[in-house]
Amino acid sequence: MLDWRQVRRYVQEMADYAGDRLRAHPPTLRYALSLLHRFSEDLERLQQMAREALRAGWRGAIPWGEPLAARFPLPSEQPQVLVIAADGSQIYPDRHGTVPYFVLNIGLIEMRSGSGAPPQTRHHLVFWYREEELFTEDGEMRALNDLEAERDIQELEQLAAAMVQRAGDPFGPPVGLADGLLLPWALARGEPFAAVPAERYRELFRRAVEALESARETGGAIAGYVDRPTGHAVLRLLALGVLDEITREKVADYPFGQLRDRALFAELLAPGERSALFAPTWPINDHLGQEGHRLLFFYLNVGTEGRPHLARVEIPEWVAQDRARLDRLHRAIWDQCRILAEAPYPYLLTRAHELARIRSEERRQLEQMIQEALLRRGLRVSISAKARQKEWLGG
Amino acid sequence: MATPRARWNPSTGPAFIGRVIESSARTFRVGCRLTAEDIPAFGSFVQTARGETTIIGVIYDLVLQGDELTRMVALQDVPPQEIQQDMIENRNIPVQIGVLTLGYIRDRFTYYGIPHQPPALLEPVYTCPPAQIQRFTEQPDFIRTLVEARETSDDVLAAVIRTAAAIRAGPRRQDFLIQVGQELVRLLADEPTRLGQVLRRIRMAAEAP
Repeated sequence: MLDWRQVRRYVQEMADYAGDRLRAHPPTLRYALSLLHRFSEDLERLQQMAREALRAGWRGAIPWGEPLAARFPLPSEQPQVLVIAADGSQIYPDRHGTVPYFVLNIGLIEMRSGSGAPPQTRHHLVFWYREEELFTEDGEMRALNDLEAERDIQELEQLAAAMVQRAGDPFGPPVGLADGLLLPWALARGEPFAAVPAERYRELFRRAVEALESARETGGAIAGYVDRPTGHAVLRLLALGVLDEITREKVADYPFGQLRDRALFAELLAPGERSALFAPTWPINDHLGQEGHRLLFFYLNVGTEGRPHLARVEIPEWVAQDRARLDRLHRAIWDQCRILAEAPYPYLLTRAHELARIRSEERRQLEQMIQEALLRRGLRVSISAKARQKEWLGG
Repeated sequence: MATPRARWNPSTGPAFIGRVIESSARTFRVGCRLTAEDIPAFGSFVQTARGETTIIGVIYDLVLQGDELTRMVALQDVPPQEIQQDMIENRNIPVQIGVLTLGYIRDRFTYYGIPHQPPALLEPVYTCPPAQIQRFTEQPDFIRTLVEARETSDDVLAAVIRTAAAIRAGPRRQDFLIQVGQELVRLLADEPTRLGQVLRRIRMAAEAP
């Protein structure tokens, strides 16, 4: 339990701090916005600087070819569109539980806008309990980030598979939406930081490329939707633009304090508009590029007049290269967000999350089912003393 | 999300509805998550238990509780048809069902009126299969509780009688309705206007094929 006297003091201090930070933003934001316009057409110079800065340890966003301050209006309404969304949740193995197991529940939902028919829903369940599934060769239980990566890659695979099933649909090429990053976070971080063995990293990469390849062949568009993004890759690019020379020290300097890209684009973009396209400088992106799936992103204002709400949308380069696919995706995300206009977020992603979520009562029911099944086979089951104490204390 | 429950088919056995979340001598409430299609109708017979006693009741109240997602969709002037259908057909929404206890079964004997103890909290609640409804409504004594209940309206009374009549065919249905009509005349002898209204409401059961 918390000592509320101490907590109250920290909460007051935190609120003061947040107020100070907020008041410090406007001049920084105005400066960043002026740089965005100043460098808007300097694409070749910035691309050249970025390539050089990468060697000095810089990380940010590289312009894809559209002016930095470009604003792309909302594409015209689509009378019919097929949107598919996927999300996953999991139960991690519990070393204090009866037996270790890993459950992955992926919720999939597809809707034909304009049909009047209810969306179709389904689940994909993964249930690991064998030693070779849960333990590494040296007998250690698989790390949480490894299991997280499995969840992420299976979400992508299931989404792509659902798109393949709907290729040639009368409602047109499918638009596939994933919650968050399009690729597993472990892959995006790059091999040295992924905290999974090199062989496993290569396996994840291969599976991601296969999924993206099959999504591309459907003629549709696939995207990762990041709500309330916290990145500052574009601001880092602007910071690069003012440097007179590229040195390790200078590229490490970040002049925008706590400012984030989303605040910058909230100033620039009107509701429905998307930003220019950028390529993140993740180490994996070059490898993806070689396979024809370099990742790009854009910002999209899904808010309303006076209440901007920014999302970051990640797409493979082949979506960007086909304007029809890109516009279809842009419009579909906007329409999805309008359904929940008070809290703009794609409706189908909300529902996919709802389908995927494993409620605490369901976790208890599953645990009970496992215990009963083991007891019926004469296997004595017990949980650890620590888990028992938690049960007594109500979690 | 919850495991999809078996959709109730009256010709099969009892289907699980939910669990008791509030209980008193005369009524109890059932909490569950159901798609709109699976919500049982007013006047449906349900059963639960207290130890060895099977408690029989009828549904007199249904509260569909919209959640945050429902409320946000409702803020739209005209929510798209697909979304409305999703809310109705796919989403398990929280539902509270009010049940009026009509009687109970113990040691294979049927008793009308309130049981010695109300159902225990979290006790599962199931639908009653037709054979059980038929047995329970063989005697018209179940009507008294419905007529006297403060919680229900005559619409529920008529719905219960229609439900019980619907599981009987041909002359047996006619016999049942005559028996029920005689009981109503006896119970509502001092309320001729109300009697007339109730009889009009159940007439369609007699006229149904």
